[in-house]
Amino acid sequence: MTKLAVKLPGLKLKNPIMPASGCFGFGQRYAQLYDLNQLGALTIKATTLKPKLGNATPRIAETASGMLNAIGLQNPGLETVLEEKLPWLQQQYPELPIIANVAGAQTSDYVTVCQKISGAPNVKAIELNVSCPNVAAGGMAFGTDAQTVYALTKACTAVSQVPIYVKLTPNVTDILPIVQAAEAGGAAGFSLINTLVGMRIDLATRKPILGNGTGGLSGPAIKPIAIRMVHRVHQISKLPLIGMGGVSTAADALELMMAGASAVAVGTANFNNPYACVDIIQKLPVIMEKYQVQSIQSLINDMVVSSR
Amino acid sequence: MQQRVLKLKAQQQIAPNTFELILSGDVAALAYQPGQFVMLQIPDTAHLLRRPFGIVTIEADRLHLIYRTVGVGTKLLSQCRSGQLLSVFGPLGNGFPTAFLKPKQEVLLIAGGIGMAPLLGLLKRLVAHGIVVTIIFGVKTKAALFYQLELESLAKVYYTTEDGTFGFHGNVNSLIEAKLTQAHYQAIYGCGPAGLLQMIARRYQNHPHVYCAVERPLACGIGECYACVVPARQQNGYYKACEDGPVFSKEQVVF
Repeated sequence: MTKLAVKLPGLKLKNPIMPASGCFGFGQRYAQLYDLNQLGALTIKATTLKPKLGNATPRIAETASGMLNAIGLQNPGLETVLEEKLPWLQQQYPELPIIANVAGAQTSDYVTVCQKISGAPNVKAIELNVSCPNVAAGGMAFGTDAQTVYALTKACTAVSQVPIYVKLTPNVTDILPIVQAAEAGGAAGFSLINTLVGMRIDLATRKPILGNGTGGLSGPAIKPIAIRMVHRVHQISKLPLIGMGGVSTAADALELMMAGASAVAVGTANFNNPYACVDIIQKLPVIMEKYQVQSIQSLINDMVVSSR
Repeated sequence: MQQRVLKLKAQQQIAPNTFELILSGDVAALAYQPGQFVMLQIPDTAHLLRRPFGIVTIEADRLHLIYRTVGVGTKLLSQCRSGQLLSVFGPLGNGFPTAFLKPKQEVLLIAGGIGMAPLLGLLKRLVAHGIVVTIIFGVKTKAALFYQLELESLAKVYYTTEDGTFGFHGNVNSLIEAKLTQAHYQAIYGCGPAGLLQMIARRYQNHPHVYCAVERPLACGIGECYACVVPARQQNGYYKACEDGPVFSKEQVVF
């Protein structure tokens, strides 16, 4: 095992870095920039049962050290993902673990997608998206209610052939009941955080800039919130965590791992630097050496997160 | 599509809120079509989204851009001095289709304000291939015009100002109505505000070659984030401005 390798349920990663869902599509265009085999894993764009058109435009607005997005889960739907997107990744990158982000408007949608997508040979884990703030049904409406999280996680783990990571929203007063509900439902781990609900107003029109009104805040602005929430969930749950939120450097990734994450997803940073993931992977050994981290796996195994 | 660090060679204001930016570096081998764009990183960590700018020209080691300052990010860019290093990602997207044109044929370029930037590169390319170009350059007021001498050396140019301070008093549509209803062009190319592009699509609805470049806020710039979608004209769906555009035919999208 090399010093960057890490093991999580369903996932044997050669390094802990992966692009975050929604910022990397299905990888096809980023594959023109660099060899995706360098990634620890690839989390695909949220996939729903039927194709989804997404929200009205504008869908993004910049904020200080961050951005709001309200894409609305636009995606080609399960059938196209199974017939075109996943086979392309399998053919081009047979060794690359894929994490399938699954979303839906109702429980039966999630169950069907989990059942079918977990049968794809390269899908090694599912990220259950109960935290998208930009859709009217499902998404965050599910992830903020403990009973719903329990029932949905249970229904999905019952049919999935791969471990399920529940993607948590930071838009709750207390994450504890949600974490406990997902654990009771059979979650293998968590990924966190999804974006924070925000809004901007156009001074000229006096209306929200985003077509959806509200959007999800991401980028370096939310990194401290991500670190705090990873730290909190690490304290209340023994399940492994995939941390994300404002990571744009190897130091950011290490910081999130020292808060309790076993792997780290990189989202908005890809827009500022299309090579963000591979840059972080290359610089990770340097920053590890600087702070005497022998290996990522040892960091995780020996992790005792201090509360101060 | 590649990322490069280029050096700011020269920058100057050419009209209110409008800047000409010359970057130098390893760009000579970059093939591009006028209408394609680059994503420029603002040298400031608070502004993390790259700004998309239509390429004016790439000549030898020089990348030539013209942009308008809209918010704080572009204002910061406009304050950069010679020697500043800037990360440039591109060329991206699809340019204006021109392969069907033959020398001596006539085309019309319609620019609204900063929309002149990508059309300037197209103008040079077309004139070099012996195409005869007519330009309509519509702006709010005389001060917003730029590059008049260069334009006039390459094409027949009509100017319109909304306040009547220069050229035709009115908008592009009223100028065409007054002066160009009899003219026939092999192709119409446009770039500018949505209202202008919608007018072009309406006025030339039966013309087989009408192409316009749209402007949208972008995030990834390569078609993976679905931020920049433009409604499709025929079916219920979207095209991506970055990957499918930014140049679209009037049949493809609702401008």
